[in-house]
Amino acid sequence: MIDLSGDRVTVTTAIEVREAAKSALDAGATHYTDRPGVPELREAVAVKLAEANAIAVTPADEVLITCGEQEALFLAMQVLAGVGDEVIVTGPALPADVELVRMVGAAARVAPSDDRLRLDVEQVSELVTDDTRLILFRSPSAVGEVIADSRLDRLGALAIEHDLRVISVESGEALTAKGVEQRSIAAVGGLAPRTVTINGFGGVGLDAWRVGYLAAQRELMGAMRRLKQELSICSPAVSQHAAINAIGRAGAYNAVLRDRFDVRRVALELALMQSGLEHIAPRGGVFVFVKPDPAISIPVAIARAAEAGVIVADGVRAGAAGWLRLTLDREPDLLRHAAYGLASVIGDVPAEAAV
Amino acid sequence: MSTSSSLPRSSPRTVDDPGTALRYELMDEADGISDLISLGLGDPDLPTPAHVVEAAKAAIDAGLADVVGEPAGLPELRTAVAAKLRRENGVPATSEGVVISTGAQEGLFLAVQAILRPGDEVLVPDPRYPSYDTAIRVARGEIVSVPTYEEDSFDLNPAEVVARITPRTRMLLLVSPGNPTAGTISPDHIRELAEIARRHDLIVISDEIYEKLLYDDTEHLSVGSLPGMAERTITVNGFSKTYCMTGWRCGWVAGPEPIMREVARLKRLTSGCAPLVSQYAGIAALEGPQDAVASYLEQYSRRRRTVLDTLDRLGFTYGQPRGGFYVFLNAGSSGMAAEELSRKLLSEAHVLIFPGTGFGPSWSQYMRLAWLAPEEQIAEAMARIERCLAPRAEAAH
Repeated sequence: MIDLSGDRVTVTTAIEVREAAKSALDAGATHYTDRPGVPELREAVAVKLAEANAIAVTPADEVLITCGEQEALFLAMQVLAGVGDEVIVTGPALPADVELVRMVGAAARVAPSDDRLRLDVEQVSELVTDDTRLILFRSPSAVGEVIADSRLDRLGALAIEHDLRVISVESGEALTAKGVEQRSIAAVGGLAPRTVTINGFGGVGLDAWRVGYLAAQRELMGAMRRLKQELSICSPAVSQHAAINAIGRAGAYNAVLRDRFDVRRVALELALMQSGLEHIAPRGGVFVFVKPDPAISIPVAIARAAEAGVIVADGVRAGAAGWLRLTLDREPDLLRHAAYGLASVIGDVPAEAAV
Repeated sequence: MSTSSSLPRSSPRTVDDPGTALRYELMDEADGISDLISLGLGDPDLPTPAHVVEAAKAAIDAGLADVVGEPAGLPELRTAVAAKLRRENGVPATSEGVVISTGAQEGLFLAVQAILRPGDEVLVPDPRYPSYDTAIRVARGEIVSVPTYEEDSFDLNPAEVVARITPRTRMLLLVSPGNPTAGTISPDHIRELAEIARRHDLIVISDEIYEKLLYDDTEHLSVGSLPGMAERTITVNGFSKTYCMTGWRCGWVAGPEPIMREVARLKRLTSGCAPLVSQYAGIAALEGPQDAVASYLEQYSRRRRTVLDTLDRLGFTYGQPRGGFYVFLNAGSSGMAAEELSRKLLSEAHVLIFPGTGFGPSWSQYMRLAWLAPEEQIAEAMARIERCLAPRAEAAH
């Protein structure tokens, strides 16, 4: 069996990061930290945002260290949307993002992506009403599309035109193909005062350590900072010290990850092309999406794939209904093998064999 | 750069209150004082037990801290928590009925979100730690304050609870030992409150974070252990106060499995699983030797004696601190409001003590003193306070 249904990739931390975390524990990093985060980490985050994302924030009051990216997203959503508000979630939308909008009492409007699972700004525009307050946006998207072209500017213009705020989750940033340009929407003209940028340290293996951050201008930051204190007081001390060490290693770490996933992506893509399977291999993230023959439903395709020795997930888990989701977190040979296996059971079917 | 014209239209929802703002202002001011002794924050100065730190380091070395887990927590830790609740508290907990949270405060927040419907009323003791209010407001519930009194050492009187029950009352929040009062709810009152909860079909959330820190033979009774209560009680606790683990951000919430499934769903949306390194530390804390806890309590007992003796000499009154590491003292006897006294002690004695307004607007006469500094510093702080206030105390007599 080749299991390609995984949701996430486990990246192990560098030995140096582990040593830094252990030294911090020995030095007594077992107490609450500064509520918005250890100052040294906030400084490092501000430098990273300035250098890599062209986002200017002051570490003292415009960076908040959180218990992972999900807490950052929760805080932003809770503060920026509420009962009676509408939130546009750009598609493909993670089911959990839609669930979160509902959790805070707002109505979620998912803007459909195009037939190649790409952000469609026209669809976003059509959903704006008088009650729209916020756009929840991910780049790389839920399927891994990196959005850095004119659509980013048009999305920004739309937010300004309708006076909307934007939550931009950029945690997939570390896993994008070599040479792919990335842009943060907060760096688009006029967007900084209305954008909350969220990211973390998953790319350097700190996903499970639960440390991430959000950045926003101080007018937006105050309430998020207070809610964070009322929710979890501060973020785990040992994890923050691990992040201080890891953030400087991110460049080298990401390059290794990029190379590894680029090789895998190309291997799988080629095999899928040779097999004649319709597929999408976004330039970011860790997934490739495969469309079964139209005569085969997704549940049937998943069952047939399993019979052929390949476990795949329903693309709907990444907001890609009608597609199968395959992780790239396997060696190239296995990925090729899986592609050929899939082609034999979900590829072109003669009409009489259709289900 | 921001201009007012480009700012979003509605202002963000705030969870602000003047008491909290004052606390921040005092902390900012204290930052600049080099010989400050802080008796303000509830962060134990004592270290996490060494074997717990070692267990965390071993988990880091083994790569276990890198692997994201279930939102509800590591199965091994959930099992250890359920066993602890059955063994020590008599609460019939199951591991499926335990969710590991990123600190007890988040656990309580999630439980409140899981249970409350908009408009539900929650009975909450006054004074209290302000995060309870935030949790209830976010769930769009209604806060119904139940007063407690210094002369009762801030025990919660069941008659005060009954008097405030309406058809919309859904939940009763118990905090024993309490913060900021360090008062405890007597076992007899716990039994009466359980009876009230059964009679009026209320859910009880029992915050027991200070359960191990008890003085003068005070007894702790977990409400979830009483007949007919397991199905309506959510027990909240954590590692921060018992094991001096505030910086690890790990706690738990335990109760009926259907409610806990909803808590786990919300946990995933709120912050995902609790930090794995901290969960491994938590397993060691619960299953390893407990002698550190006894040693902490011994030290706190000595500090408490020093503090209370000084307050007695100065003529301050207070509720008997039966648990935890605070005393909620009545500043009125100094002739000053608590805010004024806090400012005076900070600027003249270089001792930081929070005014009670951080725990409810009606507590402007009270202050919360935390004995969370080494014994010699506590003694020094008390001497400074005595020097600062003694002339006034003498004049008053």
